[in-house]
Amino acid sequence: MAGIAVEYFLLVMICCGGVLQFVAARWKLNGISFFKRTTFGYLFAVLAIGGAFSWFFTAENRAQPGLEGAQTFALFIAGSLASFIVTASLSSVIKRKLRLSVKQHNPEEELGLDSLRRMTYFQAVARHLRKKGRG
Amino acid sequence: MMQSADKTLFFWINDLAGEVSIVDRFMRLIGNDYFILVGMALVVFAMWFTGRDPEHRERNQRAVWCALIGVGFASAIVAICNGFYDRLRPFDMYPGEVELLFYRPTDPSFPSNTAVTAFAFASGIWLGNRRVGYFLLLPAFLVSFARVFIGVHFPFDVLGGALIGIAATLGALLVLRILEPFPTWVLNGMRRVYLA
Repeated sequence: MAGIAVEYFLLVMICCGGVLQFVAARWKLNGISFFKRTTFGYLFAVLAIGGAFSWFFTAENRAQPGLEGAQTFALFIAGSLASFIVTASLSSVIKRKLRLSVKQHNPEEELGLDSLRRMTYFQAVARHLRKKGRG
Repeated sequence: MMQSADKTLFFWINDLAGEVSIVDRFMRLIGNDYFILVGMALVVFAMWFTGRDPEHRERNQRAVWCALIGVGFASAIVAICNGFYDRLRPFDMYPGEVELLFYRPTDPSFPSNTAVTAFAFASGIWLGNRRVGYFLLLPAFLVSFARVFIGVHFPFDVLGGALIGIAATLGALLVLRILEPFPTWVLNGMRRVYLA
């Protein structure tokens, strides 16, 4: 049971990583993308999702009793969160030079995920904390 | 009458199994517990980040909530159903007559958990994004058909599952509307930490 749980968690985590690169490329969320060129983002998504599915469904016969519904749901949430954390951290390190002049921006535009079009996740959080510190 | 129609329909579909090896393998793949549902869940995950502008994205994010809460409600309904009605699986009801291409699940046949979850995902997303919602209906129908084909459900099990999934999502939408402005506060809170 632990084996299938770990394998399922890895499947979800890798696939969600691929999905995040796809949406980053599609919606220009440069701050969570690993790549400068969107083509590489799409390519990464295809390889990650295709590779993870191929591995999961060929490594073992999946037509046998496995996870319960609630376990599957919990593992999916955990895997997708882990994937977001890894993606946000990695892209923040890779794109740490994606520095922007705050004066250029309309603060209204910089709310939520839209901020990640022009800054990394760590930069966005740091900016939020600085703003909060200033009151 | 309904039992008889269900049986007839089941054998029409299940008799197709065991004829062409590649079709059997395909149905076994899409009818298993993970393939289609993980794929659909990934589309739901992608919807959270999708949107050409903040308003569009917020509509998608509310649809994702609807789908997830709908799946939760649907699971509760399934648990209640299972407590009251323990329908035998086709291979238990007609031993030796069913072409079984899968393992023998031990939980009740009605309703189909897979159909419940697939239709809850599809209808939840449909409420916020018609195009993606219609797109998700295709795998939902496909996995439902495959469950009958591989011999683990009767057609009425998947039909009942689909109706429960859709009803649960509508219930989730109603609850989210009643709970306003709480869902908006949560969404705004997530937006402040760049998660929405």
